[in-house]
Amino acid sequence: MKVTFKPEGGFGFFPGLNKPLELNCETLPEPEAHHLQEMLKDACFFDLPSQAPENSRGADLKHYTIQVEDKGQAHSVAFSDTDTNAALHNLVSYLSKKQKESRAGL
Amino acid sequence: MALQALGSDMTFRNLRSVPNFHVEVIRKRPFSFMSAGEKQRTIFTANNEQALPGVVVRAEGNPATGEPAVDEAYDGLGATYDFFWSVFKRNSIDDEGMPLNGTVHFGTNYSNAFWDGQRMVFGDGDGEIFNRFTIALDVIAHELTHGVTEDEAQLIYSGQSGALNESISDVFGALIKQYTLKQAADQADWLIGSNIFTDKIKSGSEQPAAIRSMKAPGTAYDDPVLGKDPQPAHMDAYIDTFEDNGGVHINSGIPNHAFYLAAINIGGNAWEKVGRVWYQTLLDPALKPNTKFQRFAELTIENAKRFEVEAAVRDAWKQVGITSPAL
Repeated sequence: MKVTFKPEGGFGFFPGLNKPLELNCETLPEPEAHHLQEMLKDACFFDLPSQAPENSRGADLKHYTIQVEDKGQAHSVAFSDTDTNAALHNLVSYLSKKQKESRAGL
Repeated sequence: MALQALGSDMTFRNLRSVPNFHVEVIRKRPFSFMSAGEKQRTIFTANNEQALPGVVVRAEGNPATGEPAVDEAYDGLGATYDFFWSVFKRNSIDDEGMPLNGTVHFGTNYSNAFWDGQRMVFGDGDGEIFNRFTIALDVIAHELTHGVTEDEAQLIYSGQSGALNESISDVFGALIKQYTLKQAADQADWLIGSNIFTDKIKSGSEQPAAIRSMKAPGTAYDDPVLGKDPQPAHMDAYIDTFEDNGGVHINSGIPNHAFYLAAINIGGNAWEKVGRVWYQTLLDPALKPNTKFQRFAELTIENAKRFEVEAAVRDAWKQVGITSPAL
C-alpha cells in the first residue's frame, strides 16, 4: 500500500513545508504500517468522495490531498481544515508528523 | 506527475466554484441592532479541536481573560474594526455592523490562521517554527480584511485575482499595524507577521524573519526548513504555478511592493492617502472578481486622481513592471 500526502494553502507559501510525502507500508515498520492501515480503515477511505463539497468563500484555508494505492485500486480524497470528518483529521495529524520527521531526516 | 495533478486540483476547483460565488456573498445581514461605530466581538475557543465555532470565552465588553490568544484576538479585532471605522467610516466587515467572531486554539499545534467566510480562526502554532497566530496584529487584520474583500469585490481566490485578494489583506494588515503604532510610511518595517516565527527561523535580510516583506519581497525568510521566501517584487519574476491556488501568496509580492513604493513616494501616514486610494479601488464597481494586476493598477491610478497622488501611484506600478498606454 502506498500513501501520498500533499498539504497546500494557508496564510503563506513556504517551499520547505509544501513538499509531498510518500509512505509505503512495505517499507514502514510493521506496527506503524498496521496503524496507518487502521486509520485508513476507520476513515472508510475508499468510500469517501474524492472532493469535499465546494465552498467558494474563505481565504488562507489549508487543503490536503491524500492518495492511496492498494492492490490495484487507487483513490484520492481532497478536503480542507473546515471538513468535520475527525478520522480524516487524525490521518492528517499522523501524516503531518511523518512529514516533519522526513524534513528532519529521521 | 500524479503529485502535480494533486497540487493543481484545488486551483481548478476554485475556478469552477465561481458561478455560485456572487449569490452567496450578496446575502448581507438583513438587520442590525448595533449603532454604527459600535463593535460586537465574540471570541470562541475550539479547545484544540477542529470544530467551529467552539465555546464562547469572551464577549463584547467582558474584561480581559489573561489568556494571551483570547485577549489578542479580542483586541486585534477591535483595533481592526476601529481602523476601518475611524479612517473610512466602514461599519465592520459588511459595512452593516456584522458581528466579529474569532475562534482561537483551533486544532492541535495548528500553524495557520484563516477566514472561513464567517469568522477569523487562529491556531496556536507548533512552537518550533510558528508562534500562536494571534500574536501579530497585522495577521488578525489580514484575516478580517479577507471578509471585507469578499463582501465588496469577491476577487476569485486563484491566480492574479487571488494574489490581489491576498495583497489587499496584506496592505490593510500593514496599515492597521502602522495606524496603531502611529508610524509614518518611512518609519514602518513593512513586514507581515514579523513575530509569527519563533527565533529559530532565519531571515533573508537584516530585518527580523517574517512571513512576507512588502518593502523587499523575497527576503522575508531564508531558512533551512522553510526554504527561501519565493515572492517576486517585479513582473519580470512573476511565477506561473499551480501551487498555492496559482501563487496567490507568491505573486502578491508584486502589488504589495507597488503599494509600498506608492506609500514611500507620497510620504506621511500611508493610511491617509494611498490607503484611501486602495480602499476606494476595493469599493469601485469596476473591480470585478476576475480582475488582474494590469486592470487593478489602472483602477488605483484612476482612484488616485481625487487624492492628487496619481503620479506617485503610476510610478509605483511602473517600478514593478506594470505599464500600458492606458497608464
